Formats: sequence, C-alpha cells, structure tokens
Amino acid sequence: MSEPTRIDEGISALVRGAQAGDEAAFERLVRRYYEQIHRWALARTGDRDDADDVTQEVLVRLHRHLASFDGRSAFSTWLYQVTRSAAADLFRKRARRERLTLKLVREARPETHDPRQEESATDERRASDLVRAFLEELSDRQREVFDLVDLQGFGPVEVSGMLGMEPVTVRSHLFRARKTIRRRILESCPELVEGYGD
Amino acid sequence: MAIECKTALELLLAAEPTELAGQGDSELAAHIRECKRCGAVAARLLAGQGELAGALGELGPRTDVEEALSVARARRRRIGWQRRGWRVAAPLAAAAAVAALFLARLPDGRMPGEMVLLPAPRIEPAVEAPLAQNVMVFETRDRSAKVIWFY
Repeated sequence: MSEPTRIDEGISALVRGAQAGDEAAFERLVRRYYEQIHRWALARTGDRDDADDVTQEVLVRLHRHLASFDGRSAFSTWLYQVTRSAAADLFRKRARRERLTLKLVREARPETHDPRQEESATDERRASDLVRAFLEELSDRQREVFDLVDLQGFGPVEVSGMLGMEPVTVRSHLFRARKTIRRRILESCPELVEGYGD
Repeated sequence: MAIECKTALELLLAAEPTELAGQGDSELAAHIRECKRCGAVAARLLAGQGELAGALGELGPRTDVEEALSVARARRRRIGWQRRGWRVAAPLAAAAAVAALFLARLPDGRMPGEMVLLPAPRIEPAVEAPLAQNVMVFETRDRSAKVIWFY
C-alpha cells in the first residue's frame, strides 16, 4: 500500500483535475480515499462515531484546501495531515471523548452464546479483545503508528513524514505497540507459550 | 539454531512481520524456519494481527460514500452562502450603523456630536463694577445664591 514519494500518475491526474474544478475528478478522488480516511480517523480518535464525523469534515476540507496541495509530498501524506487536523479540531470541541470505545467493540462484535457457533464465537471474542487492546491499551501515537505500519503496510519512513515524527521515534512507538498487541494475542493461546519458562 | 527459544520469544514480540513469516537472513527468521514451536507462535502472531486488521476493517464508515459526498456538497454550499452572506452583511451593517448615528436624535433634539452653545452669562445691572473692572454675575442652583465676578 506504500505510495511512492512522488504521487502516482493516476492520483496526480485526479488531483490536478479536482484542483482545476473538475467535480467528477474530485468525486473519484474521494471514492478512492474514503475508507482510508475513515480508517485513519478511527486509529486517530479510537471511536467509530468520531471517525464518521472526522471523515465527513475531511471531505469538506479536502474540497476547500485541495488547491493548497503542491505535490511536494505524497498526496496520502497531505491527506493524512488534513485528517489529523480535523480530528484535533474535533477533540478541541469536545473536552474529552464522550463515548466509550467499549461500546464500539460491543457494537462491532456482539457476543453470541450459540453452542453451534462456539468456534466462531471464540474467534470473534479474540478479535474483539484485540480491538479493545488496540483502542484502549495503546497510546494515540502507538495506535497510529502500529495501524499505519503493521496493519496498513505504510513504510516507517513514509509514516514518519505523515506524522511529522523522527523515524527513530516511529520505531519506538511501533515496538511498544507490537509488544502490547502481540502479548494479547499470545494470552488468548496460552498453550502455545507453555514450556518457554520465565 | 543460533538463538534459544526463550530469546526468540522475546524477539518475536517486536519483530518485523516479514521475520515472523520466516523471511530474511536474521537469526530470528532462521530460528522460526527451523523451530516448529517458535514457528507456530510466529504464525499465531501474524494471524492475530490479520484478525485485528480484519476487525478494524469491519468498523468502516457507516455512511455510504455517495451520501457522504452529498452531505459534504450541502455543507460546502452552506459555508459558501454564509461567507457570501457575511461579505454582503458586514458592509451593510456598517452602513446601517453610520446611518443610525446620523438619524438618531438625542433626547434634547440634538444630533449626536453636535456642539452645544451655552447661553452667555448675563450681566447683572444691579451690580456695579469698580472702576476699570468688569463684572459678571452667575446663577447657581441655589436660587438665593449668586456668584459675582469682578475682572
């Protein structure tokens, strides 16, 4: 998924078209990045409702500020900055996140007690626990870095540009996040680590 | 195997996904390729991260992209209208304020800012000024008291 530093021709053409006022190009650009923006917003805010709000706000800002994109960075890097800025504004408006992330987890993965679906339910519970750990146990920065690098496949150098962070700091957040998430993964299968000793 | 399983387990927690897949020349990757138990742990870690990515993927936007675009268009129009509205309303409001300033009258009928010409103090004929001096008599609020000024 990693995008080269120079924006690829397809995106470049869409951006140029949208900057020139081509509404169809703008809409194609939005369709291409819509889910990506939402995912960034989710990792940034840790709340699905907030992610929906931020995504909507980004679409408005994208239209208003697209002219200021000069192509010096990857379009995804620029768009990520717009998303972060929209999320920051949302947080400023709200003193603190009002909705618990737990609600999000429950909503995403309703628990089932049907014995016929026991295996599936176990998988869902495991995934639900991981989502909870991702949203609640990682710091904002760890969550962003881990999602971008390990789950979405952006390169650490590109992520350092997106987040305005030194590469060494990105790696530090990444390692901490990996340890937290992977410990949770192994906790769900204790038989795998039996016999390793302390 | 150059590293022990216990060390490998620690390294697995922070390893690159490619190493977890046993790819590359690192000691850990080599260990994973050779050790069944650590290979199983690495595979579980990779699978777990895949499950997490999948679960997060399910938490996608609840609004369809077309609907989101339509809402964004409506908001843009509203913002544009508000901005245009302010561009027209601000000068109009300023003009109205100036007009109100000129049209308004103070309670005594004067225009705001109009100079007030106070009546000149009258000379009291009953008081005679000394030689080579003038005299002025001022009324006070107290009707029984007057100020007489020789100058």
